[in-house]
Amino acid sequence: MAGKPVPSDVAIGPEPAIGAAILPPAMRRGILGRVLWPLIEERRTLTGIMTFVGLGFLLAFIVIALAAPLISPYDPLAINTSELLKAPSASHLMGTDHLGRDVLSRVFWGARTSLMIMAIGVLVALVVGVPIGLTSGYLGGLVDRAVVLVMDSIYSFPGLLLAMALAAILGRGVVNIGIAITVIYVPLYFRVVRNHVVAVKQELFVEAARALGAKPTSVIARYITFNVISSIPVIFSISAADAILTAAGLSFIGLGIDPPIPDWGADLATAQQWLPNDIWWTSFFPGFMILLLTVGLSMLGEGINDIVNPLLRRTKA
Amino acid sequence: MENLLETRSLSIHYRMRRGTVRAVENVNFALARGEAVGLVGESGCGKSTLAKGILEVLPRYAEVKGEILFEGRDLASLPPTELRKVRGERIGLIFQDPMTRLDPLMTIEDHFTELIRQHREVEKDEAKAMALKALAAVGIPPSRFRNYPHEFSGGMRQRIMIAMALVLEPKLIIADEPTTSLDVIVEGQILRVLEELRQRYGLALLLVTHNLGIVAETCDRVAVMYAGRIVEEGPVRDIFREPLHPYTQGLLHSVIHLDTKELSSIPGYPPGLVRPPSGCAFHPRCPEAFEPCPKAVPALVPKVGRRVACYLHHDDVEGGATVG
Amino acid sequence: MDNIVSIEGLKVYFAVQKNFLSRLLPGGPKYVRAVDGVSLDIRRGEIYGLVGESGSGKTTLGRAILRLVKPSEGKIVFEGSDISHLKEREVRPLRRRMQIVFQDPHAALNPAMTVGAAIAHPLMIHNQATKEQDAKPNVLRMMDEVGLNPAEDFYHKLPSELSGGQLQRVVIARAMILNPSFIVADEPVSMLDMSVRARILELLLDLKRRHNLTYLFITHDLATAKFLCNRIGIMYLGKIMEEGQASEVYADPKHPYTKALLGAIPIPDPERRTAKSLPRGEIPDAINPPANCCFHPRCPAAIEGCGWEPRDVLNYLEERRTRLVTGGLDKDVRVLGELKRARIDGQTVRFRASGDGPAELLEYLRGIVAEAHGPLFDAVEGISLEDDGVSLRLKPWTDIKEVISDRRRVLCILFQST
Repeated sequence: MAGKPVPSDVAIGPEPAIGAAILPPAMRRGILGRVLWPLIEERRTLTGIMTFVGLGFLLAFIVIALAAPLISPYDPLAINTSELLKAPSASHLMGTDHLGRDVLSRVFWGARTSLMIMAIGVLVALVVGVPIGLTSGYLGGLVDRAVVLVMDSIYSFPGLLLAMALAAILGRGVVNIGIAITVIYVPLYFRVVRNHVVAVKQELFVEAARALGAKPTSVIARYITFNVISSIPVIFSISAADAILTAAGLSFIGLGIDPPIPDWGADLATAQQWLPNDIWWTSFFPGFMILLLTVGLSMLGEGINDIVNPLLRRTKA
Repeated sequence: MENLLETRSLSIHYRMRRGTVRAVENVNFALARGEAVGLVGESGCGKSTLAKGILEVLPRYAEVKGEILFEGRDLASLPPTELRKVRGERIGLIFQDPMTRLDPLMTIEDHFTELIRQHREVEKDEAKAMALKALAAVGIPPSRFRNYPHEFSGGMRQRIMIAMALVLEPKLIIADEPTTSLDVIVEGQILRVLEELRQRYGLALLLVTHNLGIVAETCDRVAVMYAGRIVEEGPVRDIFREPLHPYTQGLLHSVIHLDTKELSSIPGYPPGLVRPPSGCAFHPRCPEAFEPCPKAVPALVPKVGRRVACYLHHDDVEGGATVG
Repeated sequence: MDNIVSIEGLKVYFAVQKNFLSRLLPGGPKYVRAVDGVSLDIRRGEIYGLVGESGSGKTTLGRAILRLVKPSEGKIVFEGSDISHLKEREVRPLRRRMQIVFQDPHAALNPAMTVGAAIAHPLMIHNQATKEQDAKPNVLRMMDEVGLNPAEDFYHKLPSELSGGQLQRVVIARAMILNPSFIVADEPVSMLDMSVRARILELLLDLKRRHNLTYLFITHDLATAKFLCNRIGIMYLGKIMEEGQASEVYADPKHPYTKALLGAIPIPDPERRTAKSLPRGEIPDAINPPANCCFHPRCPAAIEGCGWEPRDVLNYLEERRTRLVTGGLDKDVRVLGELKRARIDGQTVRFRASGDGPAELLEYLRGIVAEAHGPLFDAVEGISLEDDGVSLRLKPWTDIKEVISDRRRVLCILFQST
């Protein structure tokens, strides 16, 4: 009456059915899947909701920015002397500014400007900062020390101050602001990635890769990058949020965009002088957009952080 | 005489996204004053959860049902301040990795002073004297009283943990894998110290471990756990000499010792605790499984001076062997 | 006799990372002497057991043979070629022939790689396949061989979904796929459950038979080593204390450390509860190992010439204070003072007298030495008065040398004929 020895029994629990439909198992192994799947799993928790709201804000922002020419009721640059400083009404949902320009249209087009700055600034910072971080972290030694010293020096400058200095040197314009922002944020990407690399470098599986005969580039690519990549979306969101504020700050003090290009920060600056006259709409709406986008990006960043980090812990069992 | 520690129908479940993990299921277990009991099993059997459950140091998502009686009082019903008193003064604990219990920024002196003064109204000098005495009892020289945890070796840190566990003169020590990360020689030293102190102060010991060797050397009774339940329990000498439950048999045979002539293992893998096998959780791996096994969980019944949960040893089951 | 690995005088020292300031101080940089002069041969087809506690240097030795760490001194010969001074990229092709199985299977696998990818990876590294798809048949066959059935099911799983035993099989498959001739197994089963260990060990034996492998089996578990190994070497603080045929060493251990290890193993048999004589203390750190025979401070069979030095005297006095906690501690601290402040000069240690004068210190010390026993005190040459205190001199020791006789090597003064 002997029982049969059982074939290997792997203890994983039942999977939520909807989740399986959204993201089939095979896809879940990829990089994107590794971030998206836990997101989907957590969709009902507070963290999940927060992340999706943030994501929603970001997507809405991108849509508005891209569709600005189509959805703006008026030309943002069109001066209309007969409609100066009119309060929000049916024809101008957000009112008009001191040159008779439609605030709503300027807000939409301002999104475009912000998107460009974000794209140039933050994306380039990512493209530059991440590989330097990976290499420096992996190589270690004097090279690493030197690079860290340089990056830390840049990092220790108050962002806005450094941006101001750069903007003053480079001059105005969207591209120049973009460059200034890149410089500020490269150290951030560098730091986060480099520190993560240093930590992952110590792991046994990296030594195992060496034992198998893997070359350093292969080790970095397959082993380290994959494990480090999860920290990047967080930094991206948070630095994007910060970049919006910095760009707005620059514009506010007059170092940013060339007028009359619609830009939230610049518009906010010019709107200051009208506040004492109870003209609130020219400053409120641009300001509110800045707030909304920044908050949205932060929520997205924090949410991804919370979700992805437990994933890291879980996969390391 | 009442038992020092007793659990009644104790179940501990973890609510996880994947389902409910039944870490401990319906455990009835008792420990008398001065007794040394070993709680053995492999990873995932629930022994650590049981130990943590007794101390009420489980994570928030754990659900505890049943009673845990210490000196006659149900620990679950005690207010937090009372519970803290019991945990520090009446029950001492020793964990596997001392570094997780010691604050790297506090000296040993600080650790002891804080611990003692949390539970007793004594002056700093008296606390220090108590601490030095406890440390001396485990062989830590007084000159190291002001050192930080990282300045001690692994074995010494474990001794410090023991001293901390004993300084308030508890009645029961719960040790969760106390020597697993230590080498054989140090392990022997630690166990010897523990035994000496146990004899001197008449302490009871609940030793949670997967190491059957140290159970054989230290304990009076042993309880074997599998998939959250106790499957066999009784005097160490009897169980080691003649194990009744097939899992216990398999486990004892798989230990490699100096006289091992042949390797032996239990086929299959320990079960997941979310959907354990039906009936007796061990039946898929059991060489002697028969008809009633997959149907219902066998009860833990008394048999020749011990308790065993196996249909082979239920007298009222057809086909079950009786122990002769 | 064909030696697949031959080591001579191997030393691996790691510089201790200290801060900038301490590097400027006298004494120079400190080194952890993980491997401190080891010579051994591993014969083709054998299982050599390297046994020791943690801190013995056994893990470092295993890694040094595979050139995962750089040797500081000495010679490593693998399959006839000297690999001691090769650069990293010259070593890489050799990795096809020598592999390692790690202690912690969870940590040894990249959490981001599936089982199939992990096992296929060595093939792609060494250009035996360009795409994972091409390697798949090989991988599946290997998975079958190590017992990961059904292989197709396991192929796409991530490490987080497997149990310890299964993970270790993956690690073994990954090590085996290139068909190496030599494998270092570093505590391959110590993190696995008891009931699973035997199966993994059986797998290792099976693979050895089928593929003509040679193993260096590193472990702290003497019982497993006895069962599995042909020859064993017992390691302590970077040196080999005893080496010989496994059955002979266990039947007749010569070195006191070997005896201590054997005696300390807990036996799962309550009828055989014997009082053990365990050596005192723990393995010291490898930065400043004890002089001469590094085991002497703990050795139950030590004699006068083993290597007693002033450090041992101070350690004794410190430990003695533990016993004085109940009474006498204050006087001891008053007369002897802070033990840290005693000055060591060669084999002499000088104590500064307290306010009561050197005469009292002299008498006190003489008293301690008179009532204590042990080889440390046999080694005391004399205690004499100095201007401001008392000095204690120890006799010089006999330099330790390895004794080889009859297929056995022992590093112990007891076996040296003076």
